[in-house]
Amino acid sequence: MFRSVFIGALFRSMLAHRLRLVLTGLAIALGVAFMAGSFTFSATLTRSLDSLFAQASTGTDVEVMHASPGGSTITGSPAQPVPASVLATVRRVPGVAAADGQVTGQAVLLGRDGKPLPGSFGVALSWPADAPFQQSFTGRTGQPPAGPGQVMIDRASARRGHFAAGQRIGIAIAGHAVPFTITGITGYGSADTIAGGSMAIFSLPAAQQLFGKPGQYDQIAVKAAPGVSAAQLRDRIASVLPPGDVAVTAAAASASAARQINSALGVLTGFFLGFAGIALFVGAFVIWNTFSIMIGQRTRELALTRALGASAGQVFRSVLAEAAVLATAGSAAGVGLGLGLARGLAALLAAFGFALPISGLALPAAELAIAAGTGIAITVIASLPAAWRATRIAPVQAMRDPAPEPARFSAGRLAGGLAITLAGVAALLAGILAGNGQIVLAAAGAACCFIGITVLAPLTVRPLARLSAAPLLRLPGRVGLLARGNTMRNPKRTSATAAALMIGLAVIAATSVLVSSARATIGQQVHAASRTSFYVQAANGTSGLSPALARAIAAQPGVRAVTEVRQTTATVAGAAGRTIDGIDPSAIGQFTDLGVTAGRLSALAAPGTIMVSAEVASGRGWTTGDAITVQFGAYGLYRLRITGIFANIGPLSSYLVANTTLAADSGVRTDSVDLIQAPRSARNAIRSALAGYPGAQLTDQAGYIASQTKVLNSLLTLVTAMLILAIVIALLGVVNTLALSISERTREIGLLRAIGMQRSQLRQMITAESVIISVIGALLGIILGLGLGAALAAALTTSRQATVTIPAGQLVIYILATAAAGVLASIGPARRAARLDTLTAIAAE
Amino acid sequence: MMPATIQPPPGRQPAGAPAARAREVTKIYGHGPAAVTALEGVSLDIPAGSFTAVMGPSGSGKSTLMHCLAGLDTVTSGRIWIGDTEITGLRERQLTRLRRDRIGFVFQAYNLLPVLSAAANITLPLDIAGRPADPEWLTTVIDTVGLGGRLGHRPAELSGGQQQRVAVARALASRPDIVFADEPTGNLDSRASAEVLGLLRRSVGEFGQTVVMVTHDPVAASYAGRVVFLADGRIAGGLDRPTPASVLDAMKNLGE
Repeated sequence: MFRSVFIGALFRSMLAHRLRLVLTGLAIALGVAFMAGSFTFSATLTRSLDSLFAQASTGTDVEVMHASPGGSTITGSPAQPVPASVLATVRRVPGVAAADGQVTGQAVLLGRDGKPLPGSFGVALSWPADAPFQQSFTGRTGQPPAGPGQVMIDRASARRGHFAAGQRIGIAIAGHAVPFTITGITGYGSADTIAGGSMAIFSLPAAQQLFGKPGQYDQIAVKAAPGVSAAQLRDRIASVLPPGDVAVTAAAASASAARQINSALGVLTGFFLGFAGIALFVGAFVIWNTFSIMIGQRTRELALTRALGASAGQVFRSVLAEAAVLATAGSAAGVGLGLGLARGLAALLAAFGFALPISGLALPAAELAIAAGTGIAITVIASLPAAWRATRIAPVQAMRDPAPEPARFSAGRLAGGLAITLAGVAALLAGILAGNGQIVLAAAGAACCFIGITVLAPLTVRPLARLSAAPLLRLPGRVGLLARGNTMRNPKRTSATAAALMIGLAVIAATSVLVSSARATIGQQVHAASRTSFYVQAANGTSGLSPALARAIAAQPGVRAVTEVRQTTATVAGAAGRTIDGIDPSAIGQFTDLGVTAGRLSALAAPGTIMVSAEVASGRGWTTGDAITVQFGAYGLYRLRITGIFANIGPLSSYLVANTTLAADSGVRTDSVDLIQAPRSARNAIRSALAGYPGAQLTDQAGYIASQTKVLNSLLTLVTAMLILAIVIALLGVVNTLALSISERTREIGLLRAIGMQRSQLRQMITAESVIISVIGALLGIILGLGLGAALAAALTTSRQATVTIPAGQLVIYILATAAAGVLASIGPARRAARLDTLTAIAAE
Repeated sequence: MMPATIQPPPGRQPAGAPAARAREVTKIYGHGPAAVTALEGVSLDIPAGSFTAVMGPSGSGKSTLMHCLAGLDTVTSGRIWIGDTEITGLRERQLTRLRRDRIGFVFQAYNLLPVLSAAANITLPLDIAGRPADPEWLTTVIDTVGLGGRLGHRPAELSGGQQQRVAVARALASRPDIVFADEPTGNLDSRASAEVLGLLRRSVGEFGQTVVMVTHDPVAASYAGRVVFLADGRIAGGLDRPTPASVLDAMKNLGE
């Protein structure tokens, strides 16, 4: 009986505060939505890509290619082609129904304005002669390409560029624009194009000529005769292949490609989940703070229930029940929101230039349950301190005036807070510096930092409130002073509210310190070593620049010297995603001062050799003569011998190989940048050589540095965008705190109105409080972020002089933006305060 | 004690003219069968420079009358003037400004802002208005309420009587046309009550302040120059130069 009355009262009290309920539920729902959205997004992508690869190999049973292909299967070509004679050999194998030689490459479709059509990559294919291999090209209109100067393009690009069959189109191959006639338009499997990229399909002879592979194929597609399995056919073909070439089943090839892409997607999903974790962590702060304030306000009510005979356990359970109801509703809403967010994430990625194929949402039930469960668990855990405090309310407090919580600051708190913060910093740094696999340690360290600072934060509220309220004291009618006093009267509450905001801002600030430090480091490196006057770079880095361009530039009047630099990414001794530059060992010394400390640059001309920077060498403990394993692309595994160590990276990267080695091992035969020595006056002459190369950009040193650091800026933008959700959740907390403190101060507000404060002034006061709390959060976040960012930047540049740059202007903008967000957060509570009826407010208890 | 140079605040009505007037004021709460008539045809003049106590049993409408006179509540019918300004029909904004500039309040529950010092509480209405305080007048008021040493303290550090003296000082600081005191001694012991009531009487006698006080305490009412009795929302009588005994008598008669 008693229990049902108790639970009934609980629900009535929850319903009486619908708005607070919705806001608090939303704080959890948003974090859960992010998590559920990441899971759904990744499941959807995986499914889409699996079906894409299945479609790509439609009609093909076995593929024949060189044993060491490089690049990814969708966009790259194998490192070495297969000679045409192999095709004849394969065709003679019994059980082969059809076999086709194919050439792939990179080609960027140009719009009518001569600029590349938007898209993440451009793939070039040869038109297969046999019908089975044409099945992937669905919904074709017009004719397949039949001769030189003819092309078939994908339907998505045709739509985007308003192209139709019979029209002319420019296509950049190795950066050079070549005119073609569109003979037809095609879809790809169930989609309009291949995985968000563009397709240019040429006739086989045209493709061989365009990509410099006359009489050669990148791979051979084989169709089995009825009754012959793919595995049988693979074995038969393998037995007749010349050494160096391999046969794989199409299923194995697409599975391997899918695995490769999915592992890249796993990184992406992890990235999203990291931000979802931050959002949930912030949500937990908001729940904790809201419940603490609510229990404080309900002291009298709870004491009364204790006086009437409720046990401490019942009080504890009633608070937890409220949290559980809220958590369940919030998490359920979050999962629903997450499904919508999954589509939003795809759109966001597309906006940052990573268009990915999405066909219908996949619903990963287990992961969605994990997301909802995490939301519920976090909410209930966050409400535990409040529930525990509720049990400590003595029945006699029903008869007393609610005593304001003493805002004492004990030395124990100070010591504890410092200890937690320092332990957190240590764990965070250890986790990040340990490299891969220590993400959990780093995340736990970051969480500890935030909790430690939150424990310490009440100490900082008074000075920070004074600081952030200083500009507001100019507001007429003591509005700023009143607001400041109100935020300082309960430092714990103010700091807990601000701490939620602090988290997002700390990460943003740390990232911006890292980015600006990295930018400064790159700039310093280039300035210190480079003797290059101009740089011609491949735009977007998708298809590179033809070596012909370097020759054309060298022929311009005034140009003293040109050298080609090529680039690829590789896994070096187990470390993935390392940039390797291909250089001309005999020329590069003219363009940048490498500062070779061991070995000789000229030795790099020998095949199978590599040079590494002193920073890498000391970090890995390598010396000249060591052999290291380098994996270009998916399969190409090589042992390269270190012939030299250099001190100055300059405009290059930490790993250098000769262009000849790069071409042999990775298949990269185009330039990423041409370094030029010429007087300033030669600029126009160089520019004229770029005519017909829409993918080439001419820059000077400053422009080159800017282009090298552009990706860092995008990273900062992406991180900021991801953290906006965490900041929105923290702002919900600000709204909650304001609303709760207004209901506590009803009588004061009534008095202010009675003695003549206008509604507008009252609104200003609440807004000022919101701004002060928000700015305290921003200041705490920026202080913490500066500390973390500087520590990381210093730690990451250990072997050289530490470069830490503080982007002061940017940080000021973050503070102002947070203040503006505080104004937004105050709109609702301020309006409610202004609407309070003066008389009832004065009479309020 | 009081310097002879202190003049009545400017803008006061000429002597004898009422500081506030109510004509046929009726206040009905609610609609239809649930409607409650709190005031019914009340007409009243509050002469400038007078100390008027409004008395009556619970539910007699004395608080409603004060709230209506002070522009805190609206009337159902009838008209009210503060000085020569009719406040019935004023907009919310104008009413707020009128309260700010021309009316002072003392409430039962002190109603000081806990985040401000005693001094800041006293000047709060002036600060809200953005008006500079007249330092000489402020000194006089502070000397009169006798808080000299405690001005920098927060309300929580003051006793109930001290807090109410701060509230009186706040009400006087802006030299309002009229001060309304709602049960100002309701939460005080007899000694603190006597201090606060004496203070209100001195403000009338020495500064020419007009004070209207709602109370149910005959002793408190005896500090006033005149008592107006209210019963069932109507004026039920008046008493000049009251004593506690005469007030009690009059109250007894009201009950009959």
